[in-house]
Amino acid sequence: MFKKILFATTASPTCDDAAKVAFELAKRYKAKLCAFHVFGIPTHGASPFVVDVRTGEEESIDPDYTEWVKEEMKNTYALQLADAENCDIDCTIGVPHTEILRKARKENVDLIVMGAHTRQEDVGATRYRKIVGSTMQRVAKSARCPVLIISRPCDTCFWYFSNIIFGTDFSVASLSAFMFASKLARQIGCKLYLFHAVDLSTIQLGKSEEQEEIERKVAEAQQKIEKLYVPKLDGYDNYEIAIREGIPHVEILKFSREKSGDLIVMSHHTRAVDPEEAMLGSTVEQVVLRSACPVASVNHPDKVSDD
Amino acid sequence: MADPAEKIEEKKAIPSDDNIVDEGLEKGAAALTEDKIASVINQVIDEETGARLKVYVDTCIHCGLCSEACHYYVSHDKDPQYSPVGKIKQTIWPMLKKKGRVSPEFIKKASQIASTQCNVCKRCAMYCPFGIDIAYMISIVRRICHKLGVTPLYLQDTANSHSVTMNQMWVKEDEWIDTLQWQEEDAREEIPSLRIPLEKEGADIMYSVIAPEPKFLAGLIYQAGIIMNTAGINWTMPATPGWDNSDMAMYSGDNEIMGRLKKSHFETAARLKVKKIVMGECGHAFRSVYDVGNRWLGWKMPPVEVVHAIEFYYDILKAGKIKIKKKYEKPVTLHDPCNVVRGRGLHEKARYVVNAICENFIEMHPNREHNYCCAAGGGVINCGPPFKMTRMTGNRVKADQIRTTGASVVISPCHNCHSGLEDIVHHYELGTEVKFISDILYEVMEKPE
Repeated sequence: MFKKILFATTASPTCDDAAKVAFELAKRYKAKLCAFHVFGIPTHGASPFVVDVRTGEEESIDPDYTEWVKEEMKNTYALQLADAENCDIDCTIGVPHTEILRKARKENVDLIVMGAHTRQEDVGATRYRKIVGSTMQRVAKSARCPVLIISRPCDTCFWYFSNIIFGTDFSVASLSAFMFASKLARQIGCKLYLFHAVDLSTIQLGKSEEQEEIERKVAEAQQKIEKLYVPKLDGYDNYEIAIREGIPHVEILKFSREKSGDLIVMSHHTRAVDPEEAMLGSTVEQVVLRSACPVASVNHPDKVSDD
Repeated sequence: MADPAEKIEEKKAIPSDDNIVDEGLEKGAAALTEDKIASVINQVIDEETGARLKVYVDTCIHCGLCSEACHYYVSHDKDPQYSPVGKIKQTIWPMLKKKGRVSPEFIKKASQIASTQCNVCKRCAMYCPFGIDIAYMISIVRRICHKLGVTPLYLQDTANSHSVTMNQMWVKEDEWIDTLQWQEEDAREEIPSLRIPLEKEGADIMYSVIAPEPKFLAGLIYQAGIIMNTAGINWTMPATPGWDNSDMAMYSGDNEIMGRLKKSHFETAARLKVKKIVMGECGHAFRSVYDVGNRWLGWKMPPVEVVHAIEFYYDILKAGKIKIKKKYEKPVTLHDPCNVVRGRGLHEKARYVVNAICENFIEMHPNREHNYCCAAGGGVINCGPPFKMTRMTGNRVKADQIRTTGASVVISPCHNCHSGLEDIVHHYELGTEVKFISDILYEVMEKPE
């Protein structure tokens, strides 16, 4: 399922939970793992200075410094590396999301694993967010492969997952997310929930819809799922359709809790929204921030379709 | 009449640039002898200069009116050491007067002054009653220092990259092509039919950029792709060396490399049989293609028409090829880069463009051809970390200028200015955002569905 995995890390404790999953996955699927760290952020105009992600100091980078960072990464992951069969360590300077995407493209990876970079107490991670907007969002939006985002410890091993939740907004990108979710469910042999939340966000603006209208939308969503996704399951019958109404990110989180979800799969920014603008507004970002389980963002068919 | 310069003793509060150590300067100077210095200086003066330099030197009446023009001088509370004529007095004059018999220590100091305390922005030339081009004389000093091997380390490294790879940032050829294809793929998410055409012979326009774009700022190429495609331009980008229009060798005094770079740039355009070259938002590259590099190669004007991004945006906006969805709302100000304003007179076109895309434009004062320099251009920012504070203390006046506008965004259609202003904004805690025109244009334009 995965031949090459890119683990994009801040090489700081924020990414420890993600590290665990990345190394485990690589081992299980005998995949090559690239642990990759963008350690210096150049000024926007590319002057010869970079800001060191960990210290926040301005540095000028030379090959010695790069080697030193690599050594530090090896120390950070010494425990995991001792057990890893096929792992590359690499680091570079640049704008994190650009470099992560460039690396993913160059190595042609099947999966990117990263932390959510949202912990306030971790200076380096906060800098990632602050300086370049949300690295994770931008990576997830443009990456050609699934992006697995881990913001809380994941206690279950991937291949013991028993409940995968696929959240859809019926966009084109959602179809790719579905392909990934169904493939994974089939391989693990676990339950797949096909979930949609009818968006009632307008309630916050004081505009509530008629109950009939809501019910009509729920029924419509049910039909859509049956028509769009069910035939593509190819007879795999361990699935369930669920429709809720409310604020989408709240509903999907509630649903995941209820069903003890191990993984939520969805697509990112399917409506063209500037990630800077939608910093905390998007459903996926909210889900990632609050979800107890890992979230996979899949937006392109490249690595998940069968053909 | 300029205010009299103030006494040096009073200047203690501002950190001095005198104690900065740069490895390139130190090692270079250590290898020199006075004979070697004299022979190189005389060779450059006799064989590479002529009436122009002689007239400039002989005409100067030491009035000091150039002083007020210089951001270093003004920011150092009128310390005469930083006035344009003061810098000439510490560099080229003694070289000429002593017929080249100056010490290695003198050369080291002269190189530091010429490369890091002057941005060759030519503001002073406008204040000189005779129009003496002091920047030209400073360039001669850099040329001499280059030939003596006394160039600041980081600047030399950049020139080395040009020499080896024909681009400024050690970008490999496959990395260049791959970056373009990658940006094309990404931009096709937005406009499915979008192309970033490579090597398209006979296109109307060859679009060229500087190496930091593929290296770090790939998003700018994406934006250019969207703008070009939306405006329906028949364009191309080269897949061979010659794609990079930047030229730090011009600033390190390495005219031979400068010439090679410009030649390859023009030849690439000629090979692709394009009608003109459109350049991204970079100032020094424009100077090298439009003014200095072409002339070194013997062309009074560029052999292929060269259009800076400002002029290109002006043309497509004026012709209605790009429509604006909704103007940018935040209050913006505009920094006029020396090389396209004093060097090409694009200030009114820049204002047309900014007003076309922004709701609320506030002028900076002074502006247009009188604008203060960013202190990063002229290769100064490329002299790297040792000289960062030279730029910061040397350009307090820019910080004041930006702060007074009260704008929340400063638009800077030049990469060097962009980096320099970011440093200034950070150092003086102005909290202003620095943007390229294309950042805003991309945001506010109508894109095909």
